[in-house]
Amino acid sequence: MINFKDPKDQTTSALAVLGMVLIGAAVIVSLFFNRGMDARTFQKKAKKDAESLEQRSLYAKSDNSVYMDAIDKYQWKESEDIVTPSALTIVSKKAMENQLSLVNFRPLKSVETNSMIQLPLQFTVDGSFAAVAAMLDSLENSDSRLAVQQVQFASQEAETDMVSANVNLLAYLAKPEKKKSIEPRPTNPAGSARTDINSSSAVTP
Amino acid sequence: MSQKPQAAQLLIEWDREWVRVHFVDSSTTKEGVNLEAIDGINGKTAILLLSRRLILQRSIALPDAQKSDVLVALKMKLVDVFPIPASELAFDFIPTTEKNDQGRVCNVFAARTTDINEVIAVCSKFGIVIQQIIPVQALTLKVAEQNSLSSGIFVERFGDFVNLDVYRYGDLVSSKVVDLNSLDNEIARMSAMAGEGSKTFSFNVTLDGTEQKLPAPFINSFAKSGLTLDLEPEEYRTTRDEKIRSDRHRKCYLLFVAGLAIAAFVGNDYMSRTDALAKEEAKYQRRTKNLLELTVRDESNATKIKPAADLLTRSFEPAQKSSDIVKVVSMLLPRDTWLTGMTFERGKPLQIRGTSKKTELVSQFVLGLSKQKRFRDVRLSYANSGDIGGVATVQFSITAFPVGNLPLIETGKKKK
Repeated sequence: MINFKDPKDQTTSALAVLGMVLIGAAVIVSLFFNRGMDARTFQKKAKKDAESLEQRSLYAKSDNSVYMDAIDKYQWKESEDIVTPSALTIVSKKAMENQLSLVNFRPLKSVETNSMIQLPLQFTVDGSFAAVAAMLDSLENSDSRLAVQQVQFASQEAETDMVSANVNLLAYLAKPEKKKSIEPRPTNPAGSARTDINSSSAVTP
Repeated sequence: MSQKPQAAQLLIEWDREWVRVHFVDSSTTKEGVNLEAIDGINGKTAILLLSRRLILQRSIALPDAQKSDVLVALKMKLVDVFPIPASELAFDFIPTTEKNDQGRVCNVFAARTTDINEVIAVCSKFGIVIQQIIPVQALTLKVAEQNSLSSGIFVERFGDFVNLDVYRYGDLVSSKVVDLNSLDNEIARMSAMAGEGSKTFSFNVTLDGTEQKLPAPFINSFAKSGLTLDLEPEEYRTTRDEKIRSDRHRKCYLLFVAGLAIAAFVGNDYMSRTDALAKEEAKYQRRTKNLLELTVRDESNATKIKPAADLLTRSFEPAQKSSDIVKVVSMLLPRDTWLTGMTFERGKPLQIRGTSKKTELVSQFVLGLSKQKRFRDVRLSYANSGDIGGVATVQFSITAFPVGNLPLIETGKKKK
């Protein structure tokens, strides 16, 4: 079919060769540059990646939820001014419930950590060892949001179980949100600062 | 990929009064008065062997040159060799090994183009495509050559006729078809022509008994003959070649068009798939970007609040609560032993101080604490003997580390 020797056949032979080259190229493209397969592979990869990301997001959300639950459950949203008296109320109530005498209650200087404010509270109660133990149990198993940080027992009298217990508690307070900086007030056309009508410095006509 | 001629399916030995057809595939031979009398020949390719009666044959010296050149020279000489004008003849030659002053001796064969056209027309009626036309006596020429026969007679039954070829000193001196009635006379004449000591080969003809019998007609020896001469008329050959060329060109065009179409289809398919892939990739990028942003945001949020959450969890859900530790210590306290002080602090060892009446009781207390899985590193700091109100006592101090008693420090990155 292909004959380059005869000039009459050269053109058609060239066309035939070109046709074969085109077919060969088409076969090579179909076999080795299969975009359909690329697309399928890509879809699989994309699906896998998306699933992986979704899984990561899900885990992160789940963790977030757990963390937020812990924060909501144990952190005080109120300010230090409110937490201190509330803590005194709780401690006083627990002491009374356990027939202990609250000798002193002292809030210490709060410490600011990265994400929270730790407010240490110190109190001393006198009473029986069992009652102190019961009060500790009551404090730790209630929703008081006061964590026991330190307990010191010291017996008061020999031959009795009366003890004096010095307990350090910790209250975790949420950090107050930073207030946005207040933009300067716009000035009036005359350039003087605008004054309130009720201000004592307001000039009456 | 040059086209080879298709092997002929039929060998047709043709005479106006008798036809012999050899079917190459089945190696069978059929004979008849004409082609119509023979079945199974339609649409086949054939080698046509022209009867001796249609062939003119001479041995002449021709220049020892390329065949195409020799044919040109032969055409010029034909006027002197045959009594028919060269323009009315189809001719070819077979060179021999013999040479003389004028050149190489060749067996020249010629046939009237009108006769050949007649045969071609007959064959065409049956759709037979003729690939080659050769004089039938050329077969015996080859047989004689292959058998190194110098002088002899080939006798072959051909219907109601007998083919006769006579060789003398290696030359084909006579070739004819005779009827049965004149066979004896012709054989006698031919024997005389062949000379003394000549051999006779016969197929299907019984002579005086001295002849050598052949198992098959000469037509069957074509495959071994390797004959390349061809008496096809120029116009038939040209027409056939043009037809072949036309077929070839059509196939080339078809191949080109097919290649173009396939390439276009594959190219279009490739491009559309590439576009689709690009769209898919863009879609994936957008989706991944959104998902990644969401994920990073969620993870960032989680990472941000994790230290606080961990600290709170550690503070309010410790491995061991202080009240539990106090209870366990008091439960493990032996009789005649009292606690005088105890200090528990998160992240630090537990300190227990007490008084006991006996040293053994202190040991018992220490051992009791050590056996508890709640404590590790239980150590007796000191045990001092004393006296309280005239009663001997032992004052002791023990340290133990409550398991899981972690300090309340916020982990994670420190603020700069």
